[in-house]
Amino acid sequence: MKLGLPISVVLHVAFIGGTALHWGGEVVVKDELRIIPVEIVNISDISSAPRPAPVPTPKPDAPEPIEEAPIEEAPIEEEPIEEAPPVQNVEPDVGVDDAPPELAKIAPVVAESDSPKPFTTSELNTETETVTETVTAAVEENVTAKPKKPASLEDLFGLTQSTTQDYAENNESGLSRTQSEKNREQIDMAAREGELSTSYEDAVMRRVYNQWQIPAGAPDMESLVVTVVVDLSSEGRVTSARLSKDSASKAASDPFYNSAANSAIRAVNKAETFEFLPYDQYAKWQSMTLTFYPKNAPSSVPT
Amino acid sequence: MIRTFLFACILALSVAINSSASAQISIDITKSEIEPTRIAIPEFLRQGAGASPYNKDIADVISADLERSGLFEPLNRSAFVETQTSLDFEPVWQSWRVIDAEVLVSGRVVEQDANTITVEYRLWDVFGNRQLDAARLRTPKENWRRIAHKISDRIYNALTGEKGYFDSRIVYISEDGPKTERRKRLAIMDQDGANQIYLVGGSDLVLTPRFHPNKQRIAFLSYETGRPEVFLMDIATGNRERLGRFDGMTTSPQFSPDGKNLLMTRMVRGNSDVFSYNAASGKLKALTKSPGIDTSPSYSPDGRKIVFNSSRGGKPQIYVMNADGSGVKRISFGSGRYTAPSWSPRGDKIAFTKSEGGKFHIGVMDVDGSNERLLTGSYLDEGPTWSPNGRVLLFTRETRGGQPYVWSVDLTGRNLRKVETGGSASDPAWGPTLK
Repeated sequence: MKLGLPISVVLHVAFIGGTALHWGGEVVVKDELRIIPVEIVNISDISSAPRPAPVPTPKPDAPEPIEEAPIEEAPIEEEPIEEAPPVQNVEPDVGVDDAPPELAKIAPVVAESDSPKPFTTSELNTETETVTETVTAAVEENVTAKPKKPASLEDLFGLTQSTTQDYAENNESGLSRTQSEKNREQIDMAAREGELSTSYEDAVMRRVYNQWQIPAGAPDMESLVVTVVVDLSSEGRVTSARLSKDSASKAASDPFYNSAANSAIRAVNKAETFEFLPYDQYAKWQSMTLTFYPKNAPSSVPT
Repeated sequence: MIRTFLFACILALSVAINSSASAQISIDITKSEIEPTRIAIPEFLRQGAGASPYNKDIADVISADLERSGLFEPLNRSAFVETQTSLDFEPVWQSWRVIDAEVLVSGRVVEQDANTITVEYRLWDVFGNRQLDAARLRTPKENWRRIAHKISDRIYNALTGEKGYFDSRIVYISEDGPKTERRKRLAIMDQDGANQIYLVGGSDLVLTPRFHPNKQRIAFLSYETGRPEVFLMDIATGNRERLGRFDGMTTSPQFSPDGKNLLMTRMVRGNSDVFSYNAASGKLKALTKSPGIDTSPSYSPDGRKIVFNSSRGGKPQIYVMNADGSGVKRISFGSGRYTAPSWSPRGDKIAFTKSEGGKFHIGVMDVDGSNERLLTGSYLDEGPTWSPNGRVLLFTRETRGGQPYVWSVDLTGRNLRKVETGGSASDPAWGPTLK
């Protein structure tokens, strides 16, 4: 018993000494191969940038004064280009709402002007075929539903400019945006024809689907099923998107689940407004539960 | 009796409450399509004359890192609406939503003194109106690329839940010269192809470099004594040493996760078996004793299992055994020949090379051999090695009559790319992330 300590000490010294001799040798660090440390301080907890009071309905043309101030006294102003763009570019975006009436007038000329017929849900699922017809009809519907102040010629010009530019710059995003537009318009149509009960759920599903990025490549990805409870205003705007109790507790313990949960919430926030939801049934949809199921793509042998 | 009745009443009531609560609409969304996250990375702000050009360069390296992962789509800066002039306030969310940016990275480079820069960075969730991560990093100016990689790692981690792998290095065999007189040199570079350096001259043939799990040390095979033997090398000092003197040839070195043992294959009189070499004692221990060829061992990340390939059943197949050599179990049963298994650092997958029908594939399977999935296929694809987070594989691809190059592929089979190595290269091994 008393020998234990000395033996242990001797063995430790022998082991350390042996290892030192074994791995040792002169240490001549080549400069180019030296690993220079990076000192990191996590500041996310201690200094989150000040945020303005939560505004559920963002107003694009009224930035919070808190952000205006530093812009004026900014230390770096070498690049003169930077001042102008924000103002310019906001305009076409604001114009988007105003423009559809004008477009609607032009659209019928291009599209085949079949009189719109009622859509069943199955027809809604075959997106491509019904699109041309619904675009015109739905846009017309838009006009009657919410009358807007007429867009000026400049607005319209600005819009066409910005959209063609957008499409040229980023074809993909352009496509996806029009796709979701189309979906909405299809649903508007269906809503008018009294197909409410199934189609608007389908429309919510599609809108969120388009915005959702699945947690690809995470271990056991298909088990990362996230449930989000969404509260909506009577206009269909998302007022809160939070994890279900069960999902929240999983997110707290598993970083992969947490990032899957974040992406689900982001998808709902990106969808922003489900303006096609029927007002008279608000009681039914004011709170919804969305469940996100990521699936592995079917595997195929590469050639 | 009354108690039971009361209990039944409460139960019935709670069921009723539950069912009334679930009367709200629930919608299921199922998706398998993978789309990259749209990320905006403007040039960083700068403070002090010496902060330039790091403010642009760091943003560019982050952008390139994330783009290469295949999970992010950095947006074109010319489309940005807002130009942030301060890092101390939230961005104008709407101006980033307009361009469909889902996350925004903003940063500031401050020249601390003539030699040092401090970089502050913030990651914003544009549609969630919140900050996801923020950090301040300081280092000598010449080390700026590592700051960029560290920030990439943090962004990757915050958005995928997985550790990043950008602040890491790759060793590989650089090849040049004609086929008959090939010069093979041990080389190292950053994960993104920057800072390429030759570690060993090129007079002797070197093969299969493998990284120590956490030290800047590698094991590799060299013919410098006239026959293949395993050597160890300290990357920073360039010191190298032969790993003991053993009968026969030693090949396929692979460190244990704690770095204390080294697996290797020893070949004596045509029979090769897997051995474990203890760095402290210098002793070799035989783990397999079959008459066939047992080779390419690789530890599981917990160090308790070893995967290897063996021809004991005829064609080479993949087997798993305990770290002491007991409990050998075959896990691959497909047609074709399976070689070079490598256990993922995440523990959930085993990567391998498979040849079948005149073609070579890199594939992955679960550790019990199920869910086999081939990720690539070509004239010659071989030797997969995992990124430190078990998310990406590097391998050697050679075309018929062509030169070998290092390629990478995601473990889901997406994002197949050639890795920039300057010239021809083979036998890549991905090192641990730097501290």
